[in-house]
Amino acid sequence: MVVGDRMQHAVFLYDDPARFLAGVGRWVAEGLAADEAVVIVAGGAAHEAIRGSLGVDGDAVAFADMEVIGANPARVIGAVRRFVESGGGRRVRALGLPMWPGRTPAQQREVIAHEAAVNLAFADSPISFLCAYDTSALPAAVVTEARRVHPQVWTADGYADCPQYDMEGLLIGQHPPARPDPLTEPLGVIVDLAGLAVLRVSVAEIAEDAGLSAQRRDELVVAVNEVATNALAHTAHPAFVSRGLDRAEGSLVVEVATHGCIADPLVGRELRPSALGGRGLWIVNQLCDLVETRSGPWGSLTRLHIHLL
Amino acid sequence: MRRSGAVAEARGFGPGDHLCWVFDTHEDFRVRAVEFLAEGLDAGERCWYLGSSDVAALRTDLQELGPVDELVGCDALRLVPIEAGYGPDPAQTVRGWARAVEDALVAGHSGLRVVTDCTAVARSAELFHEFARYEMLIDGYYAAGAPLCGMCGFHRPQVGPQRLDELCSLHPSVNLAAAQPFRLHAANPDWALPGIPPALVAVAGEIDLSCVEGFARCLDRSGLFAGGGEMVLDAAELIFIDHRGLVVLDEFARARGGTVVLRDGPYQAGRIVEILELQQVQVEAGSSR
Repeated sequence: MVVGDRMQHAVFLYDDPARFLAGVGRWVAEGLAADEAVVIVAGGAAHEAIRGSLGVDGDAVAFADMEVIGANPARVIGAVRRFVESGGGRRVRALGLPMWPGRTPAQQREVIAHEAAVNLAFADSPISFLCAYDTSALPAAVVTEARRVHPQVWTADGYADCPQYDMEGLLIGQHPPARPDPLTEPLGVIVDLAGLAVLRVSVAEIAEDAGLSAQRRDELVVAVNEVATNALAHTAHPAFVSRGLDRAEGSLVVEVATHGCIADPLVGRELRPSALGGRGLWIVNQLCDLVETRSGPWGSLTRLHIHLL
Repeated sequence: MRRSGAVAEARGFGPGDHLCWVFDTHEDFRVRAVEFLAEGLDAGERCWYLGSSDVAALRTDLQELGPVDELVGCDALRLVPIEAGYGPDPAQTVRGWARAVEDALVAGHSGLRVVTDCTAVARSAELFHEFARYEMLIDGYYAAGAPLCGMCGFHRPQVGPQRLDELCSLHPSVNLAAAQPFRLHAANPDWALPGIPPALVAVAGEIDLSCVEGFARCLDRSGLFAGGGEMVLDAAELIFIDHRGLVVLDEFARARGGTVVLRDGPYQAGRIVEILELQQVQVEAGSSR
């Protein structure tokens, strides 16, 4: 299959560790034979298993820890872009294991949103993604979603178009028709830029009440300040800030909602200073453990998660 | 230790202090001038009151201060038309004040205390830029420990909001009603030569989208770091700076071929610099606030 400079974004569904490693070994060998820059982004145990099974091929491959760069899935595109830029113009081949059984429900949703965004971010890039999903360990609904966001599937027989791929519906989870239920405790309504200083004090207080360290507190303050600033600067609507504890995620959450909308699905996933609010949301994604962004006719909201340890 | 921050009254100031007082009525300014100068007379400082070119009006303003004619007669108090105190060249004006301080000391005073209604200079489109530069230069002289204590008055309706914001930000102390989110002023106890920019400047308060344009203008007007190299800002009193403020510093430094160092800057500033990979800004000894 001649791919030229086009992106490939394939899902690799497996249910058996031996078949997984054999498939990865073949896929990596193909890339090395074609003089591609190969990177494997996987968490601890999977990383060890893959490294062990690749033998000498493993020496020619770059590794990155998905549990570090992909803990917040919105950081992955930026990390991959950096790898592409450091590759000296060679075609890139990237294996990722973004979805593991311990992923929380909100993380699962954001992994799928990230996979959808990959199709837009790298549409014109010379890169082949292989995203491995363990069908024996992941919920069936997650596997169904994974099929919808990948234009190709990869099997022992090679690449094929993915029949469930649904470009139109890809970002539907990001655009609910009605506003999600707000968090229960309002923190404030910010109507102008003078309100940002007051908001920062309130956020610092709730962070301390929740037992965050001083550094995590300051990081949350920066993140909320950036999102609220964007809301005020780009939508000309007030920002409604609320807070809550997300027990399923184990996190303190601060939500910033506005009647304005966020149009760019890639904003904050790459460092693009020229994009509206691009630097601010990039910073937010690097600081927060998870960021949920939703928009629709009702407006938009951003939920910032900081884990409570 | 010189005072820094917002104040409710013009009392409790001493050598090295530099207060900005924004007023809506001349009466408000007059009352503050009297309380500021009264403490100077008590401390044995020579006092100057600069403002209207009508010296009789200056005399009337200070009636509550005591026997004005007597004080003027023994040169403990001078009433000076504004034109006589400010020339077009900021460095030369600062050197003029340094001489006035020396004269006061020679005459046996403990120092010099000056109240100026700067409105006439600040409202002038031609004079404003140099005047803002002058404020930073003279603040370096204050910060160096000169026995000089000053209060600069600005009439809000005449000076206009944008210039007022800048002028307030360029003073270490400012009255509450005009307090700005951030302050940029001299912080160098060792420097002594009047008329050259202070070698160390403090940035204090909070910088976000509400004031970042003013911050950029203040940096430009300050005349600081014209020589490039490493530009140290004392950031011990900097509470918060968002990425826009840090990008302003990055661009300011790049345009001058140097690097800005935020000494004792907040932890969050260091994180943003790291994340955005800003090349011309360093945050040293960051701490959480």
